[in-house]
Order: sequence, then C-alpha cells, then structure tokens
Amino acid sequence: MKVLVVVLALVAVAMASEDCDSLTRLKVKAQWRRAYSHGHNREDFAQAIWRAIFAQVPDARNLFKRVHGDDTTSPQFEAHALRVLAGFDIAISVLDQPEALKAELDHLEHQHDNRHIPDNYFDAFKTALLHVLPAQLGRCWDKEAWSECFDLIAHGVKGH
Amino acid sequence: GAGQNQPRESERLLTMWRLLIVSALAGLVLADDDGKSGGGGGKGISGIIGRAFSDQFDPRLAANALRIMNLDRKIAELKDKLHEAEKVDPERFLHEMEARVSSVEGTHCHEHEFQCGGDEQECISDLFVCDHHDDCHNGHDEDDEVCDTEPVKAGHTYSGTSHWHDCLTREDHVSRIMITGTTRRKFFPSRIWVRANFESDLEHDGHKEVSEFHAKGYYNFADRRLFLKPADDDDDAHLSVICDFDLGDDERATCHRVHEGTLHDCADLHVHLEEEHHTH
Repeated sequence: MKVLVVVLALVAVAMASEDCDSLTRLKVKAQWRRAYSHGHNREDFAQAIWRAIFAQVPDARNLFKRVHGDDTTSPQFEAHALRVLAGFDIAISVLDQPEALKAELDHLEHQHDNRHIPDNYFDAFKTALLHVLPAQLGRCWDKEAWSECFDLIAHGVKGH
Repeated sequence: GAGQNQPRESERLLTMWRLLIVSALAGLVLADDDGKSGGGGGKGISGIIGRAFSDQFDPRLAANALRIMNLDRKIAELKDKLHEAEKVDPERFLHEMEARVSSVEGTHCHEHEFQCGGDEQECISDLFVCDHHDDCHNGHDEDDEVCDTEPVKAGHTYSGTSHWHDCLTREDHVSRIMITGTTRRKFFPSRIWVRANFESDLEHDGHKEVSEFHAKGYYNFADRRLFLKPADDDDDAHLSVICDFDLGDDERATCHRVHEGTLHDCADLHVHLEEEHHTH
C-alpha cells in the first residue's frame, strides 16, 4: 500500500512537471494572487512588466501609439497596462474552470486578431513576466508551472 | 636651524652613524658660514671639525645623504602608521553608524519600496531601482552607490559563524557563502540573479565534515538584500539564506537562515568578505 502511495505521488509529481494540469493551475492562481497585489503596487507591477517587454522588443511600442506607448509612465499607458493585466487576471482566475477559461480566451483572441502581433512579442511578454514575477514574489514561485500555464493562455489568445 | 634636531634623533642609530652625523653637522655649519649667516651651533669647535673633514669629502653631500637615510626611516614608520590608520576609518565608521541608525529609524516606506532619501522623502517600488530609468525625483534610485554590484560579485566568498537558535540543534559553526555566478538581464536590470555555494563546517561524533548545497536567488538593490534558496527544488534538507548588507559597506552582511515558506528565523550569521586569493 505504502509503495502504491509513493508511486502515485511520484506519478503526480511527474505529471505536474509536464503541462499546465489542474494542480499546476491552482499553484499558478495562488502565486498570481500574491504577485498581482493591489493599489499602487499593482500599477508598479504592470509598469515593470511593460518596461521589460519594450526593452526586449522596442518596435512593439508602435502597436501602442494610441495608448502613448512611447512613455510607459503616461497616465494613458498606465491605464492600458492595468487593462492588460486585468484581462490576464481573468484568464488566470478561471484557469480551473474550463468553460469560463475558453470563453475568456476566445474573447481575448477576438480583441487581438487583426492587430498582427508577431509571436516573438508574446515571447517577450512571457520573458518579462517570468522575470518580474519572481522579483515581485521574492520566494515560493514555480517557474515551470508559470511557463506551462502562460503558454496555454498565450496559445488561446494567439488562436494558433 | 633644522640641523639642531639631528643629533637628538640619531641617538637610536648606531654609534658610527652618530659620529658621522656630528661630522656632517660640522660640515653643514661650515657651509652655512660660507654662505649666509645663521645656524644655531657655535662657530668654534664645529668650525674646526668641519675644516678637518672638509678636505676628505663634501660635507654638504654627506649631510644630505644622512638626511635621506633619516627620511627613509621616517617613511617606513609612516607606512606602519598608515596600516594602523586603515583599521580605523572614520568615514567607514560614520557609514556604519548611519546605516545602523537608519535601520532602527526605518524608511517610512512600505515593504518592497525604496526610500529616495534627501530633503524630499519619496517611496518608489523596488522593481524600479537600478533599472536605468529615473523614478525618484532626485534620481537616487539610479545612483552609482545604490546600484553597486560589488556585494554579489562572482568569486566573492563571505564567511562567518552560524548561531542556531531554532529549528536545528547545532553547535555554533563556520559557514561560507561563495558566489559562483551572476546574471543581470538587460531588459530587467533591477535584480541580479545569483548562484552560490553554501558550506558549513560541521562536527559529527568528533570528526569534521562539510555540509554544502547549491543555492540560487537574487540580489535586490533597493534593500541591499541577497536571498538564496536551495537550487534543487526537492532539497528540503537545507534552509534558505537571507543576507542584508546593512552595515554601510559591501564587505559585511547580516544573514539569517530561514524557512522559505514562512521566513521563520532559525539561525543568525554575521558574514565578512574573505580576502581574495591571488594566484601569480
């Protein structure tokens, strides 16, 4: 019996490290709660992510002319940065509700089609998030879990 | 004149040197007499001795040689004094006092915030400190002194005595933190990602052994804090390390061994940068 439990535990661990499974989703949800924070702190978190994105792909600013992408500290861009994180927050929050997640990802995909966003911009977003998150959390964070679940969300938004 | 001091100072030298100086002094006085008037010594005796020696060698050169020897000795003494002076650096002491008082006063900022300081106190997110973008009105968040990467330079070894007061029953033992590698991302420069080796000299049943683990973590410029946890995620045997460079310099840090989840404090550890071993 004990052996079976150990084997099952090992299987669970192995599965957890394979894809964005249900346990991994719960982990990501909990860590996001802590990082997303509130108030001024949330604005700064969003600001840091966008600075890291534009530092990697400066050309991406062109997509954000309408929201003053040339100055990430402008109120217009601050508002936009928070809007983006709010959408991301919804997707993370419903990671454990497949139908709701599907609906949100379809909605986000619809918002992004016709904008011709190259895949490498999504990669830059991921890289930015995967560096700002551990800086914000400080400890107790799982890079692999985040990588897998981000890919799932990005895949849904890209639609391919 | 200045020559009067020389016989008294030369008392520590050998008798031979003493004699030489007397003769040189005589020469000096003689030379003085030739030129301008002055010189404290009497003309009578020194004049005679001076004349006696002046045929053999140039008294002025001899006197200068002795002066140079004397200066040599004084410089050697000064060197020793400089080494002593290094040990008590008033500026370093003031920095330390300032840092200690500041940590008692607190920053008046929330957690994860950086105090811009100066006349106009301001708090900014620690995500913006040293990210090559001025966020403080006074630009303090990008100051060279704030953004100094010296504390986590690869190759540095910090050592000190771990004193356990919780979690584990251990005698006080020496621990070493060796910074093995660092990464600073160009697109997110406000953290330095650090890899390190953590070693502890333990004693088990009378024989010594070294317990070590690979650690990873980051250095945060905003609070001058180094956080390290076991690099192997399945490593539950070793506790995380938090080091604060809070003593006003880059050589010393106050560290704690903590549980990563709760930050519960298990051991105190004051570390000091070890002198680097140069290989020639």
